[in-house]
Amino acid sequence: MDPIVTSPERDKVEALPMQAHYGKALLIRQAEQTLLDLFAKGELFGTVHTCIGQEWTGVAVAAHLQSGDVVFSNHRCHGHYIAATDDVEGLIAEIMGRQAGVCGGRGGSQHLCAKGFFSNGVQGGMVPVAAGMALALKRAGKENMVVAFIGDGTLGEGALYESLNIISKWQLPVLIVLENNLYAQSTSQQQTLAGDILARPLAFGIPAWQANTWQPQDLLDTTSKAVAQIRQTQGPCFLRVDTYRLMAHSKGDDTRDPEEVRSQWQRDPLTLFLEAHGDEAASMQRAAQKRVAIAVEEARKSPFAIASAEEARPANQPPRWRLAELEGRDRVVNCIHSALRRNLQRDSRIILLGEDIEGPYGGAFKVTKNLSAEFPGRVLNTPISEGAIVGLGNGLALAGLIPVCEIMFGDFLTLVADQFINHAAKFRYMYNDQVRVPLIVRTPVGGKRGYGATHSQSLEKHFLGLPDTQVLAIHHRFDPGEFYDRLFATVDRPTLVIENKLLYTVGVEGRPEDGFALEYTNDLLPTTRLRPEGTMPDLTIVCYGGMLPDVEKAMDVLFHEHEIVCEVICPMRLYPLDLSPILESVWRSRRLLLVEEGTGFAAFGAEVAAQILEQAPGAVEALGRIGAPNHPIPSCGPLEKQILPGPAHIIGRARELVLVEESLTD
Amino acid sequence: MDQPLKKPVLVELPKENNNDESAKLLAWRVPAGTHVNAGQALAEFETSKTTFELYAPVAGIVQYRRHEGEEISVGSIVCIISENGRASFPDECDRPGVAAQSASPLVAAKLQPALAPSPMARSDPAPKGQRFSARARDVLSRHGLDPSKIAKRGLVRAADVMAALGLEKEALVPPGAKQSNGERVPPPLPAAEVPCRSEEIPRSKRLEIAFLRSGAQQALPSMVTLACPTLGLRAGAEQAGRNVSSVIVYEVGRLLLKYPSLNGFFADNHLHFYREVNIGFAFDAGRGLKVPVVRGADTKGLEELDLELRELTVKYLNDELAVESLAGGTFTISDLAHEGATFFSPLINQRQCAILGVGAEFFATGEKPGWFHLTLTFDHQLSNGREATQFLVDLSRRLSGYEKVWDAARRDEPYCRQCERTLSALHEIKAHLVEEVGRNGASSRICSLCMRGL
Repeated sequence: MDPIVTSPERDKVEALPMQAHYGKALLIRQAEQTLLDLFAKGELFGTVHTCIGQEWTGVAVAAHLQSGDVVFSNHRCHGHYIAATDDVEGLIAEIMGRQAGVCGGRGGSQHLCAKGFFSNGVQGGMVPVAAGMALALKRAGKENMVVAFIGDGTLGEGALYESLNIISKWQLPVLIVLENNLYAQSTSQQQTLAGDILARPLAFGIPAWQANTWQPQDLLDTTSKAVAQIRQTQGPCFLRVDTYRLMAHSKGDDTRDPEEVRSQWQRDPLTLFLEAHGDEAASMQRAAQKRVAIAVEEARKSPFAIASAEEARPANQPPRWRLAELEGRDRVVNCIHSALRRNLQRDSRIILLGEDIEGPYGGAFKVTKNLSAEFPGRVLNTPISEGAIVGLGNGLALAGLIPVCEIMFGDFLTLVADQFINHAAKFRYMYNDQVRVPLIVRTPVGGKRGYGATHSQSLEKHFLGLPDTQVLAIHHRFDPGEFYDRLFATVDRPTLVIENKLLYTVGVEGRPEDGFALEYTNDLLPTTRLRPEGTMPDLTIVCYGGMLPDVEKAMDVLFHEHEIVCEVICPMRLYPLDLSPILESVWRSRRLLLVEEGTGFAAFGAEVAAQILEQAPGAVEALGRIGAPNHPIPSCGPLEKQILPGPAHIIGRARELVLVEESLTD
Repeated sequence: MDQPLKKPVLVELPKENNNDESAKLLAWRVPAGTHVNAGQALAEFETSKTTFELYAPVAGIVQYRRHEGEEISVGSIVCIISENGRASFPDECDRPGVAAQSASPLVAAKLQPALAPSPMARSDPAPKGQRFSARARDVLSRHGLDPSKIAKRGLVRAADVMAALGLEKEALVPPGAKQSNGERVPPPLPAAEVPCRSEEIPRSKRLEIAFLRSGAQQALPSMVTLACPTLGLRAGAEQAGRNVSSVIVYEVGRLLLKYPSLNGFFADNHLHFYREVNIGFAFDAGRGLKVPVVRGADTKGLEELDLELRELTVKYLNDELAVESLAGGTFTISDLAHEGATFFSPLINQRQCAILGVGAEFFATGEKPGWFHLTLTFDHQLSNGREATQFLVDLSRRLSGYEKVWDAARRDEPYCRQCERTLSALHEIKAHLVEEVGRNGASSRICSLCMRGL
């Protein structure tokens, strides 16, 4: 972690009281006002959420940062950023969309990353990430702290409470700084906030402090105490800072009472400082103006952000196949377990998080049996907070660890969507390649156990296509242990691993049915093929994960009873997708059947069909897709088995596609 | 240069050296369905000696279905290059012959690469068992055949079994099903109470049954018999050192050109007439009934035929008859004379419409020489009684001429170099001799029949 730039002028003898701090605050204000001007001139993109009036919060906190501390902020992050890093130039260039900007112009006003500073624009979203970072720092034995800035509006978001619970229970060194400016965008706190602000952290057992920006010295002292407490106890603290936002929420959307705003200007500490200290203060202000003006000039010289180079796609090559050499018949769950175990041994960066994963329970599906005992402190039970689990994972990943978050049922992926989609998947690009997120989320999916509508789904389709992520599905024809070995050795982006729960008890099987060859491509996470021997396929069936055993059963019956020869292509990586093995097979058979357990609309099969149509319009003469029916999954066992895709559906659809003539014996 | 292809180009596997009848596909160089330029490398192959690249002969979109590691026989279609990438593959892409799939162990050994396998290459999978579909097993059991007769590896369907046995794709009519006349096939009578011993049909018999059943099923058989005077035919032949069988084959071969309705078969509501005359000669000397085929019997001379039949006899006795020798017959001759049968009704073979039976000599009391029966079973859908009779009369007349042939050999009459019939014998069948002068100035004689190829 890069050290945070500490306040350069801390040790200078000061002519004016808190001169250095005021200098910083003036710089922040000048920057914000300039940004508003630039916005009015049309030189900025999107909007800016200025912190004019609230500058002292950032200044006070920054005054207590040490090298190695990490700051997480929100949409109103400019002041925090300048206070912590002094990088006015980078900030202005960034908001102007220039390559000289902090994130090369990609992140913009709300998405900054530099020198131990992260911000994102989703309310409350960064708090669990901050908690994850704090966990990493604590495990590394550092005496650092993590700061998370929130507003009073953030008190509406669930992610905050999940995080408060965890940082308290796990005693993580996090300083939550709440800037209470009485408004969330246009909505007054009176309308939305129930109960008391400080009662909240106190309810979680987190020590709470309070100060305000109109009494800067008191604010500094209080912050000092809070920080000292954190460093001493290595536990969390909550600091409420009352303040007021003098300008609009973003730009031009201020519906507050003008009288109220005017009266706040009158008590604004910077205004008072300037009035009180005449020339000295004025010269400080001019210095700030000059610096900001130069920053704008420099920024204007820098070119706009450029498109990223496309990840080098390999030249259009046909897939290379090799026969599978799969030993053993161990159950899938055991293969996963062994892999987790040997990788935990091999790589100290790996840490497992999830509900009920510690011994003796060992996970809802026993995947993590006994691991917590063997690797104390690296296999952690979490509260039931799916969002925070993955948020923690994000923080751990930013800190350079390899977190493996188990989400107990794939149905609960809905709860991790924000952390996976708006945080994990975005960090690398919007922070301009400064970070990697080697996060692994693994989850059991699938039905046919009678668990009902909310414990049986296959929702992976909703996570397909997120740039810079990958979605993987294990199956029983490729050793899941080998799969995880390879994944752990190479993971460098948010990865969702789909494990069908029915597969857990299935034995890994290297011997294909008679008359078929089992082959893999020469990729890291290969596509598997069951190729018919001695004859050309009549039909290509594409499936993944838990549908493979059903497809194989269907393939068997289709040959034996209906003389339809199938070739099965089972990719392991659903996204990004390498189409070439599927295409090659389709050119052989000219017919394609796409099978998945989830609903079919805009799903994996639809994507494959669209890509094939684009790339090889003449290849397919008959196309079919099989998916779950268009309603939630019923709990009744026999009904569930009847309607969810299974061998019977596959056989029926295959026969329709191949239009076999019933010429014999009828 | 790159003009659009008018017709898809079928790219075949070239013969790279004299030893290898096939090569192994190591890797495709381009994905299926992509555009290639003329001269672009398509795929890498491996032979027993080396590796080589297959290049695109024209520009266009390449389509292929072969997979890595597949052994492909020379002349087979490897891929298709077309303008739009939507060409269909022909039904038969494989040149039959010495592909590793159905090769004897001797041949398969020759195909092992002489080189050490490259890192990418891998040994061919151990020949996995075959897998028969339910219908394939059905066909096998109905024809009483052993699955091991089917050489095809991998997945075997009913159509594959039919093809392997040379059977027509015919409707199998199980008991209870409706026949074409609308009546139901009567179920078999309940088994009799008489005790009996059962055994499996021996392998050799199964094939025989298959062929004969197939021949019978499509035909409307009828039979005509002619008694021919022997006139010392056999004795004369033995004296001249010629096989009577070869004489019969020779004459029948020429006659079938005159009677094409005896050289064809009925199928799919059509009459099919062969363009070749391949005469099968039934052998049964205790090693099972086999019918080796003399191909192009109408084009071969008497001496050549004689030699071929002798060779076939030897091979039969040594059990060395190759599979190819047994295939492709258009007409069959069955000679039971040596066994002593004077008259029998031969069965038409599969994909044929006639069979000639030759009986043993029999004598009227007190008389010598005797007679022998020539019997023709024929398919009434192609021919008829009158024509069949004319065929037999024609044959009989020609055969009877031979007695004079060998007689004349002693009398020094001029004779045809091809059929060895003498001048007087030819006059009797209204033919004549023609003198030929060869390139070196030597002269020989050929009869008008042989000159016309009859």
